[in-house]
Amino acid sequence: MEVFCLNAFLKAAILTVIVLMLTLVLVFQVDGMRQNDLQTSINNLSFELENNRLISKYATIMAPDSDKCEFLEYTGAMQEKRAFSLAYTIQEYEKANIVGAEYENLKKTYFLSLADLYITFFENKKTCPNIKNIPVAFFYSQSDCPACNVQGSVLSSVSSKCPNVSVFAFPSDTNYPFLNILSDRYKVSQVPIIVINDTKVLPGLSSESQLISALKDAGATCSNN
Amino acid sequence: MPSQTGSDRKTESSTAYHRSPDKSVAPDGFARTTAKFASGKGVLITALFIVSILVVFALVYYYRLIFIAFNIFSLYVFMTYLVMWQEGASKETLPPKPQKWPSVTLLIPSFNSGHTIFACVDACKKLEYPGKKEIIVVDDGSTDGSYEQLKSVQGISLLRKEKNSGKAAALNLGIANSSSDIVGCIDSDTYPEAHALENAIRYFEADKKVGSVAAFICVHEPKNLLAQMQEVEYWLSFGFFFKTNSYMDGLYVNPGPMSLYRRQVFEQLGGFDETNITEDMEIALRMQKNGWKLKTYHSAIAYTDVPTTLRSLLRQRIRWFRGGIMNVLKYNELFFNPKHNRLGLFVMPAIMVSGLLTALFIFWYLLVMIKNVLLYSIAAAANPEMIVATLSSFRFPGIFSFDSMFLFTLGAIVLWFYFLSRGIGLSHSKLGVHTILPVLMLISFYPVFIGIAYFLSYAYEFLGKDYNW
Repeated sequence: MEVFCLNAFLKAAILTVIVLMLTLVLVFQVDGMRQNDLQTSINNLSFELENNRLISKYATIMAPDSDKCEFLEYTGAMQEKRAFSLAYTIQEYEKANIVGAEYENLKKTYFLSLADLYITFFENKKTCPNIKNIPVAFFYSQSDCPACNVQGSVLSSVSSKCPNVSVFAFPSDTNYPFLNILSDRYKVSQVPIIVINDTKVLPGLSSESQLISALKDAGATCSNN
Repeated sequence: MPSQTGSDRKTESSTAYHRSPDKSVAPDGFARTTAKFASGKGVLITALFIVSILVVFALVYYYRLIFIAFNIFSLYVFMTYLVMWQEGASKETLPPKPQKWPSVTLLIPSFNSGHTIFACVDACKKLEYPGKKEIIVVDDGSTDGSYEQLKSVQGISLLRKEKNSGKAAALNLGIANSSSDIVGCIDSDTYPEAHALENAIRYFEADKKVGSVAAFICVHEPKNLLAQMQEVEYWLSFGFFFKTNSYMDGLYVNPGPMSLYRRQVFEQLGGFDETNITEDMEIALRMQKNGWKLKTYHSAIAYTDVPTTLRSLLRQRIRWFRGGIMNVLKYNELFFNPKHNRLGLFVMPAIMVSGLLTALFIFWYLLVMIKNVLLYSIAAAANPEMIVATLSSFRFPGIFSFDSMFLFTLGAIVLWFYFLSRGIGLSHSKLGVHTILPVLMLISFYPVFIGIAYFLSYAYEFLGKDYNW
């Protein structure tokens, strides 16, 4: 009886190990797919950014008479929309993953691209004063921050009502040097915090009407629906 | 003469099977104001408390790790059940008919059960049995008029306790007033199938160490979704798990609705513990401790009424779990005791650990939920417009953003469904469209509900709350 008992428990242990191995394979597979998906999106963002820079350079050096401003305004806005939704995806995927330590590198690449996009926005505005887009920097915390989540939803809604508003979401709790420079520039000591057009700083949770009003003051066109 | 009429009823006259109250468990009947444990148990419960606090703190930082570890533990427990089932339970055969059928007394304790007792008595009368059979109804001080009505029922003996003193005391009175070889204890809201008795009795004759045989408890005519959910749960727990536990001599409870006992068990160990809130578990562990075998026979089906409201279900489960904690502490020497083989080394530790961890998970989950609701409320309170934004900021995870830690539950979920199919097979029911909703409820709502029940049970035990049912 004792031998039988041991055998049954041993068999169960072996079966458990086998199922665990299969589960781990599945986990690696799913986590890998998530990482690849994110990597592809971030690569595309970097690629498009580089492509725009080249087009801008080309227009300046080789075709000074061409109208690059309309193109830059359109592509810049498109990239910002993709980048904004990518911020959520990174956060969700990172929370969902168990294996893989690549997220730190992926995030670095993403936030550098995002910061690049943000600065390029101002650069383009200098080159093309007719660009109407208003850049909005949104600083949030990557750790548990319900107010940041709420502010993110408000900004999504505002962004859909104000087509010429471009939102850039930056985490405040990182050690990326450039993001620290931006945080210092806007004196980010608490989150959420919103900076409109590099000038108007709105600390704390801002309601939709407050934001729309501030954006209109900065020159944005927003619908009421 | 197997049956008597109400006119020659007996009265409370014997306490031969009365079991002395164990003051270390529940002094003064079911009332208790403070948790008083014997020193050994005090150390155990203090250790449990400290472990619980540590686990809750650890959950804050390492919840994924603990969740995964818990699932690996569950997977191993389920795998053991799978192996045990494959090796024995599924192949178990019905012992042969005995040469001489033992005499049987069916004891039905009744307290204000006028709406069910008559159907129960009818079902007991219809039980097919070649040997001598008698039915004793013990009225436990009913005030609903059922006692007076029972007097006119033919074919039963009727005993009366003037003062309500609990099921265990009523059963003990019945045992003392019977002389049969086998005593069947049947709840007054339970209705056994006609052939249940004959088949179950065979186990007693096949092995003289078998002290009790439990019927397969199924739900009687489920009236709403909650009862249907319990029907599925009973197929799984009283069906698959009980049969496998029985096969590995690891039964830790003789279900109250219908269990049969060899008379020698009471002669050797005394009757039911009248201070215990789950006397059916207490006697099962006492029997295990003293070397008796406990069996269950799944062709002996008894249908029982189940709670139909959340409140009554919660009360029932808290009673079960508090009784479980009480008896686990009382019989803690069974734990990890090689003398008690699979019960002590596997079944009891598995139940204790899974119950405690489920309670702690739910406690932690509730803490997180309360914290989030508070934080979101503060955020939303900043501006009424924020309420819509707050609600819309709750994001449901997409298929790709689903936490990988849940993948560790897949193995246990697959096994769970396999066990359910075996349990349904034992009950001769079929998994149809009508069972989809109860099954969904059992896998979604029930774990949270049962976690809360576990949590409250542990909390009440720690706080020394009175036993009032």
